Amino acid sequence: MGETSLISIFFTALLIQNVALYYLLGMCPFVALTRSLTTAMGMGAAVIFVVTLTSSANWVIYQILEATGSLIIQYIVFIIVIAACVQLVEMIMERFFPALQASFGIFLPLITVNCTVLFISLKVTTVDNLSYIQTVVYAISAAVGFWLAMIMVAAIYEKLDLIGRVPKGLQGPGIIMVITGIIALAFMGFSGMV
Amino acid sequence: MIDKVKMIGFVLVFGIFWASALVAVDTMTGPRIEKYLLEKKRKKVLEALVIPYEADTIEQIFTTNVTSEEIDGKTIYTAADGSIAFEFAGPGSQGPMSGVIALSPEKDALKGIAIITQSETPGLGSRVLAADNLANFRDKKVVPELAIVAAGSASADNEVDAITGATLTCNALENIVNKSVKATKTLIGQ
Amino acid sequence: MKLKQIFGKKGAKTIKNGVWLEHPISSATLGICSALAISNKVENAIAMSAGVIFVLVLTAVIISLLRKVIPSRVRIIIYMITIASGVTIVDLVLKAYWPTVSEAMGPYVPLIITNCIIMGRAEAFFVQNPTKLSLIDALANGFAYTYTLMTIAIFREIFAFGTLLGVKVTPSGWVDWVVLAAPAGAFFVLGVFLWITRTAAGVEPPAKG
Repeated sequence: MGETSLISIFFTALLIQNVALYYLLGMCPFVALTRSLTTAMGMGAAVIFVVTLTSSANWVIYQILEATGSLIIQYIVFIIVIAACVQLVEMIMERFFPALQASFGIFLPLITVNCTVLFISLKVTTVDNLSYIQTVVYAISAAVGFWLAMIMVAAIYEKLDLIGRVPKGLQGPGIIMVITGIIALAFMGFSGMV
Repeated sequence: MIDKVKMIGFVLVFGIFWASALVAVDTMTGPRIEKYLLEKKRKKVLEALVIPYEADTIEQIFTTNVTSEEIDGKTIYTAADGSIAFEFAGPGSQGPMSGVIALSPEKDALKGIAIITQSETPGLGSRVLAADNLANFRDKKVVPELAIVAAGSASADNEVDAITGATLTCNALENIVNKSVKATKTLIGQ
Repeated sequence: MKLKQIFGKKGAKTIKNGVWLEHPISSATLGICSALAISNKVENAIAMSAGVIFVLVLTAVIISLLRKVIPSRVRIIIYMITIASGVTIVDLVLKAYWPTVSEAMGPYVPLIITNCIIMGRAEAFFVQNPTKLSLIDALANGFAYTYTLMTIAIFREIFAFGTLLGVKVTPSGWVDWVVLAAPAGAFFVLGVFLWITRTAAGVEPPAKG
């Protein structure tokens, strides 16, 4: 709805309403995979791809559901579409880009239960009711924002791991949360920007 | 082959069962949800028209003071004193915003503005849209246009002070108000 | 057809591996990821926990009752349909009877569908165990989720807003720790929570690199 500019959507999704740091989503892979920069990069890239694909598909489906008055089954259909898309992506990668698929490894199937994917599909349809172009821009920006958050936290964690003396109980998920919290605070500074 | 048919059959039956269950729940909860949404909208219309109400008298006050009619698919609410109200929607700085605008009986000044949804920056942009700041818009002229000017410099009848630091939200609001007022006036033939 | 075949085997193995990468205590915290954003008010935490428990119990009952007849290769889809339906019901009921809470929680209610705990338990337990046991497991996991979320919410609401369920509990002159009301605050509280629980449970820190 409306003519919110694409640039505005891009920056908002990337920095101000960052999916991980503002909406606090995708924490499962966030905590599990930010221990190393390479895995963070891999997961981020996979998310960008899957999110763009699934939100496009779900946008189309949403228009159909709305037109036929069957919005009641929206959640069921969305999650199945997401699972199917992930499967499809995996199959295609296995066939055409086997090396890439091997390096993504376990991340790809994990994306199905990633809250971010479902969230973005829902936000562009039910919550904001964006146009198709806006949806694609939003999806890519949000996913890139997620990736950005992941690599920032991973980079800091790797450094801390090397030189810091983190208390035993705080190591791993605990310190990741603290690092993420600090980055989230920093990102709050972007809010006047757009 | 039989296996695959069984698989698909199972999923289909299962899916249909649940879809029906959901439709049933929807029918049971639907009326309540609609009632709530209607009441919510009425509250906003009353707020924009600056008609006081209590939590439990919304329906009563609304039906005695306001009539509504549809023109070309747009609902126009008319209050007892001649002021009109209508819903608006448009792009804010960070996401869509929507609400109700009310015009004076002469249709040349704002009676009030009420916001339904917005996603502006909390503490900054959202202050522009808070009820106490919106009260500054009452009785401001919309002809030729509403103008939101630098804080402290509002002088003319159609000027309102902006909030420093919330320029984008102010611009968005100004745009949306002017556009929707013009569109509505054209619609009702003024 | 190939799609459904691969779905079954690979999907199951992945979810089992993926979801339970961590020790159970931090698994419980991973499960609340989608609720972190609304953990700043106890009222929301209660609603969210109730919703999750409802869906857990519903899934436990349905899946365990049908476990002998669900074709193995489509079981993930079956879980998804069940969970998504349960969540749709929760969403509708909230909108109808507690609309203010529903509005405060917004898009986070449907995210219960992607909650790792529910899918994980369905695959790891409900589909292999009789209904009575599954029910107990569901309630146990629901409880773990609830107490984690409530602890964080109580802490955040008291320190950030000075209230508990809307009732003011801090002495006058208390300055709110507003940072805890912001999403960033949730991370800090969760980090401390993890610190305490993991130290108490003597969990070994994850291997380096």
